[in-house]
Amino acid sequence: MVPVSGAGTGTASPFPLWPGMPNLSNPIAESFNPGMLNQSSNKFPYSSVLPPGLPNFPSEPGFIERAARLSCFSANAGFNGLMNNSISNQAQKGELNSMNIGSGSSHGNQLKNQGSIDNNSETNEGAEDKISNGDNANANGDSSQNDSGSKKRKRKNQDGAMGQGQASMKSQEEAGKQTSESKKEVDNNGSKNTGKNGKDAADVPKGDYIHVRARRGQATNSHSLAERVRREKISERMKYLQELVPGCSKVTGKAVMLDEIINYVQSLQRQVEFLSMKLAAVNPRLDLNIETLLSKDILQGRGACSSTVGFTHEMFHSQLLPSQPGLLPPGLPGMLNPSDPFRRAINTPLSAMNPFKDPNPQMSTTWQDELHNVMSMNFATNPPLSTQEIATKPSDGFQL
Amino acid sequence: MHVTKEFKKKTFLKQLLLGLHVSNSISNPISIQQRKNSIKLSADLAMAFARGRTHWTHALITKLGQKEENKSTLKGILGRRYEILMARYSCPLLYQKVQRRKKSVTSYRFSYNAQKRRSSALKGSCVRVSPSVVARNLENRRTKVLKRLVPGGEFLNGSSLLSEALDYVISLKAQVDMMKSLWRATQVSSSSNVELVPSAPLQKKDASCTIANSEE
Repeated sequence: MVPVSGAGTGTASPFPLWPGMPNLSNPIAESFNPGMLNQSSNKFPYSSVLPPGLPNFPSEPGFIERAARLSCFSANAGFNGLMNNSISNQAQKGELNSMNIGSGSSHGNQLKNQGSIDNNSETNEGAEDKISNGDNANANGDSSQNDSGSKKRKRKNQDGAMGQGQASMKSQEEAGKQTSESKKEVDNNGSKNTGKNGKDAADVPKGDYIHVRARRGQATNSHSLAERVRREKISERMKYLQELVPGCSKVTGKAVMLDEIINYVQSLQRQVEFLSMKLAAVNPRLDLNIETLLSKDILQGRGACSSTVGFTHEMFHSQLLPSQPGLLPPGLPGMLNPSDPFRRAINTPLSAMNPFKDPNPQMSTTWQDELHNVMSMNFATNPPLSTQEIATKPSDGFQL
Repeated sequence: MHVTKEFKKKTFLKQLLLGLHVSNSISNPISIQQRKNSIKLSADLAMAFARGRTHWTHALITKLGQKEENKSTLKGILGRRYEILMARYSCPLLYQKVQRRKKSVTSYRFSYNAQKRRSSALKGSCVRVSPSVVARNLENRRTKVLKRLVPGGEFLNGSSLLSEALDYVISLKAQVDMMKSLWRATQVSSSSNVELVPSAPLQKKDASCTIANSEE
């Protein structure tokens, strides 16, 4: 049977401890922390800290921003603002490096899932942290056994029966995230939650995506670092998805979140099918008039509002300019007069950029009102991923 | 963030209306099913165009272009751009790779189940499957389902799959909302006549947006 975490740590501390060896890389990292983080370019000082065997991650500017966003979820539109925020956050949190584990355990306390077992996990963290401070994790073979963090060690002890080989490490890390869901055991719940909350509090000391700093008390093995980066990326995406999928704010853990996402995607796809069926049932002749009017209004509104709203995507302008003149039958000049106030009505919300959550039901009396609502609809959840893609691909758009 | 949504709406609407127009005009006597399919096709295409360049949009357009029954509708919608697009988005090799991968996946699962059965037969009691294995199994199964759902997801892994799924979910939601409001607009217009010039509600709207009006 898998041992309970409290009992597990006492008996199974399987990896050899290295109390005599000095911790080479971590103190250097500590000393570099306050000074270097104030610089805007973080790359150079970190490269001397990391062991030479660390592979270079493929540089993607988007991930720099994503990593920076790990610490702040504010809906700022400015890329520079976010980077400044993250750097200042890191400068503050860099000094809290040693207290990160403590904060993680305090989070665990607040969860109040269980009483004594949380205390057990905390003491595990505290004890293992002290032990790991004297560790050297540079040797590859040892680091694979040494485990890259107190949280990893905790999960390892719970699983108990698993070996300490490198091959099993990845499975343990994944399992550690989902054991609470699958097993529904109290101790796994508590420790997993503490682990995740500790991770949230402590994941800032990493600089940017490319150069990952080993946290205090963790292995500096390149594999474990890469593994940690990968895990944090995944957890960040899961957080965004949690915000996006309705009713998922309280769900924790990958497996259940994946389930919710799958259900949501399937329901949305079914809705598309249903709506297309409904649209197919509409009388086509009637539809035609609306289409022509809409297209004319959209194109006119587009030409007028491109100057008011500062779009940087020229592609979309060029895409729309070859408008389909064939759509506009010549016999509709009389209909275009009411479109002018309508066009103004379209432009105003676009230039003002007011986010409406739902179209105002009082306004949807006529079809023009409906179209106005269509154009002015903004979506409440705007995850930063879209801004990041805009920032990296300034002339985005479908190149046709 | 706002910027993408603005784009998406206009481009999407324009594209969707074009598709609707085409599907309405080409084939009047065909069944509702086919009309629904062509409308769905145009909606998906519109969504892909509105989103821009992402992995799933490319995969979606490729998938749409490969089906035989869609080709005529696509030709009607895209016009002269059809050949260019189809030349860019035809990769039959991709799907062969997917087939091969699926076989290996099923063989892995089969061997795992066989192992479980063997171990249970030997022990004679319930199989002691460690929770990590169960969890990993669950997660893998669900990841596979997600890969099938998200267009182009079969080739992605881990965090990239999640980010593509995130993007896809946003675009899907936008598509659903746009189609809903479009449908509502058609309903409203069918109830009232189209030549109505509703002066009163528009004035109400203008009154509420006086600041922006003064800009123009």
